[in-house]
Amino acid sequence: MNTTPVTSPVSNALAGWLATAETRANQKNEPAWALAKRSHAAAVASSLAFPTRDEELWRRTDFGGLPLDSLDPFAAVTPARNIDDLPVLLLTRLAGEGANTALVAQTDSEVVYEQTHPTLVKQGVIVCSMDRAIREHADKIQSLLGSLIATDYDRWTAVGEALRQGGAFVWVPKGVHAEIPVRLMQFLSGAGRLAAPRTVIAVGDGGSVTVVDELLSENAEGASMYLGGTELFIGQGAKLTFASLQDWSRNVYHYGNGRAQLAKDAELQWIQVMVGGRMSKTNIWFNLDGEGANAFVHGFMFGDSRQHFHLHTLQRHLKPNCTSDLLIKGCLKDKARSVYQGLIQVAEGAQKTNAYQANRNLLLSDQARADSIPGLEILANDVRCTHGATLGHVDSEHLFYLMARGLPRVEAERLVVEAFFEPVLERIPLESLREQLREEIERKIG
Amino acid sequence: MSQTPELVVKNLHVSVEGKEILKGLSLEIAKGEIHAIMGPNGSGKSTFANTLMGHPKYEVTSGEILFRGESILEMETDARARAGLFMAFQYPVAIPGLTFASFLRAAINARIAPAAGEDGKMPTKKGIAPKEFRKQMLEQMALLKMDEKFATRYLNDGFSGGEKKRAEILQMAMLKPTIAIMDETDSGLDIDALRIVSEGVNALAGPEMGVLVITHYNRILNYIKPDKVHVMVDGRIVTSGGPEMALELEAKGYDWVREEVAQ
Repeated sequence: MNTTPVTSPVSNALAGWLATAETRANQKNEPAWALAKRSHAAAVASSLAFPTRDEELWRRTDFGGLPLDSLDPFAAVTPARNIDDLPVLLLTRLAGEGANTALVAQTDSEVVYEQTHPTLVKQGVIVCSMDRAIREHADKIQSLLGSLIATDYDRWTAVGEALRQGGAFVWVPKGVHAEIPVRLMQFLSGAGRLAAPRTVIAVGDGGSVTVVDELLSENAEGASMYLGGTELFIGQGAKLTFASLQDWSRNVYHYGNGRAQLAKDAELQWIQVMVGGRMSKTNIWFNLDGEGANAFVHGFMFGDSRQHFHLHTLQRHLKPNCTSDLLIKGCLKDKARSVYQGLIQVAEGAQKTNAYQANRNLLLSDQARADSIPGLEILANDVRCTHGATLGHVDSEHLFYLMARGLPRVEAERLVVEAFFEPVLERIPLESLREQLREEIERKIG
Repeated sequence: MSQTPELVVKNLHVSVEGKEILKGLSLEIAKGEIHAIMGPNGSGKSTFANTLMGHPKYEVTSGEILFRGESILEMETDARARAGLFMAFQYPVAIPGLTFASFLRAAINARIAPAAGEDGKMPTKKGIAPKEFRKQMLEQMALLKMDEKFATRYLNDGFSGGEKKRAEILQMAMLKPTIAIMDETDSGLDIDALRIVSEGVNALAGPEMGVLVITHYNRILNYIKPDKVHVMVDGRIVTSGGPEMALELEAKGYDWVREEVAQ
């Protein structure tokens, strides 16, 4: 009797990936502690099922359309011998400033180019690939890597950690104000790619740095995937400005975890831009874990055609006297969709907390959709917490005012949409980047 | 030599959400003339101003508006503006995220290059050179005693009442309309701001521009001298006269007009 074994191609693909990732790490002589983390993540990944729509955080976002077995996390990558070998898309973003920056650039699964800057070297700032950090800076990275993103957060997260390939490490010594902004770039070169970078940024007490992380890809017929994790550690009185700019081509499925840990009097400025990709799911958590810590989050999503964005944020107030202020804007045209799920948690004893959360959505078509799901969990009694969400079309009085000055309706709408994004855009650290994103928005408005 | 009036309004009837507000308003304004429409609250003054600009809320049920001899009833608001009509808003809207300078430059460019494509989009990267624009804007701002920082602030966002009105006059100065309608421009202004705004209007009024001042009070008419004053009650102009009529209204209030109309 002929029987066909019932196995899912996805499970087969996944089991193969996990085994290959471990073999390759062994071949690369990855240190035992890093290998152990990887093996543990692989075991967790095997024990979990992929999240389904039964789970609250996945109710509105379904990766079911992603053909996992078409992806190859180990596709060969050609390294760049020098900066000019980088993909044109990345060079364009660098806008000729490549030589004056510190840069870690990754294509698909590997860091292909890394450079620091003499000024940063002099200051003792480390900017390098995660592989190099694991080899050369184990004393610094070992306790940090994977300490904020729980391996068992969900299966995707565990898979990402088990496959970990590439990513960057930025480390700022105590009291040092890094004078040069750091650029991190992830590029996906075509269809069937899967990148699983892990990045750690650590700012020592009283230090400061600006880091821009850009996600770009070559458009292709088939799907690709990004499965990344970023962990940010901000020491006492330290300041980190972190801009995450997701500008994938339309074939990319994105699953990203961002976590930040703030010590006493630390300040985080986080700018989150999401304009690209087919389907994009991002979870950002902030632990305000020292008195007087402040986190400011500004972000926007701009979707067209059938793009789908899902952003989940968690403002965790663990200690008293902290402030978190979050503003997420969403603008959707055509049949695009966004989901914003935001939660403010105030722990017992975290008195004098100031926590604000706002989600503003602008719909440019009747078929676009924005869901906003705010939440509060407050276990302290002396706090000031607000959250609010708005949803609307372009204000007809705004249009009338602009048209009364001679601007045609389409032009007036364009100005209103650009104005909607501008307060977030102007927080992006580099003028050349702001300008490129403005142009990108202008193209998307059409 | 009599001039053909630039703006001719004939027996205009306008409804808002089915309710008739203007009930047969007629008026003619020629270039170089300053007219004032005075009237009590609810008489339809702002309805008239917004109807001239083509606000979609106001429905013209009968009558005619001719601008330079042609009906503008079928023209969209932006086309009316580019043809040379301007309204200084009673309540200018704030648009956070749009700087005053980039807004104003876009408005000027819309006039210079009104040849929008089929899709209604303006050709970009054309129009007034940024340097020339800045020079003109700073000149006008100086006349209106506005701080240079205005240019980089968001449009009307956080502007005081006086700043908003000055910003309206600045737009008027830069856009150089044929007919300018001042909708309650004096409301919410202190005396200094009123004087500066009025001086701005006076500097622009002249052979090339006609002005229609719409106001509840005659205060602004101490600074802007109208050639003609019209009194509006219940959606109609009930009486017209020279500048002396403003003083008469101040002395007697609107009740005498109402009584006269009733007779």
